[in-house]
Amino acid sequence: MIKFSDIEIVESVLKGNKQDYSILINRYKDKAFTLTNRIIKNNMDSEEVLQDAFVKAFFALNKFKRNSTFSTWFYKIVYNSAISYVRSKKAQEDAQTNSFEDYSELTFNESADDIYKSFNNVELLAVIDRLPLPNSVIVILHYIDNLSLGEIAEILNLSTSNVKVILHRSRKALKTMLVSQEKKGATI
Amino acid sequence: MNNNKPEFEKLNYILGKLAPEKTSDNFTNNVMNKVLTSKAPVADKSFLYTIVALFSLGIVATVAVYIYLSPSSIMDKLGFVNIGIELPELKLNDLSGLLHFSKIGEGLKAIGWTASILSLFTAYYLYESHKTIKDNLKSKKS
Repeated sequence: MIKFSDIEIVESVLKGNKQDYSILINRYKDKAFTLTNRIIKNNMDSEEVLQDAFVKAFFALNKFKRNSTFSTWFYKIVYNSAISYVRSKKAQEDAQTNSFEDYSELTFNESADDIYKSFNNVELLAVIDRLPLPNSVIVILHYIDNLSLGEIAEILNLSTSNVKVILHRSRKALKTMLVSQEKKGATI
Repeated sequence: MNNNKPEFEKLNYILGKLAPEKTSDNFTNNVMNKVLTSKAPVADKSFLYTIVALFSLGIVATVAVYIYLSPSSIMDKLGFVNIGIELPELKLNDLSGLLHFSKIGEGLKAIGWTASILSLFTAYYLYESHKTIKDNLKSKKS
């Protein structure tokens, strides 16, 4: 089966083959959903926001400049849509409750390297959810969407070095959280 | 930061295996329904610009034809004085030729105006539908 590039699909849609847009939807829906869910933290609302983001992207396809990849352009729309939704719902306060600083202050347990290997996907995502908004988004964009630091920086309007620092801190916090959670689980 | 690389090796491995969450089964269909049932085409703006450009061109052409073919009335209104030209050797055949040309001009004028009015209505209709779609999208978001 021939795999068309994002740009080829975009050009086909712009020529009037609207049905081809479903290829892009299928290609990005799950990854983008994982991203919106980290921000919105509600499956139904995340899907609704993501659907609107896809529709918004469709009607803005003619504005898509080829100087960035489609994924970067699209994730920017998704991220902004999710952030706007959260702001409108004033859910930002809840997301900020777990401040990153709380985790960065925790000491890192070097000897517990093997402990957290038993975490499954859902548990890992739940731990990522405990990170504050920019951190969890960066982790998802980097590990699930496989975006480079430069692409993430473009989506979030941050500098590449800033993204690098946040990613490093996020990993440090994640490791601490995974270790402490595993310890809690072991004692129960 | 490089010193921390081994520290995060295992974590990187685990995070690298993270799988995306699944959307509901009818997600793609829902989005495609929204996209396909919408009246606005993808390149709606460029289409709108084309119509507006055609409409403007129609207006300019009509005005030009009108001015060109009705020199007496327009020139009079603009304050020009008609200068009577004596054509002592003008024959009846020449006059009929001029009258024929004038009839063609009248026809062109009528076509020009009709095209302009039609373009105006089309442009207005497109503008309204574009606005409605935009409003619908906004209300869905809110």
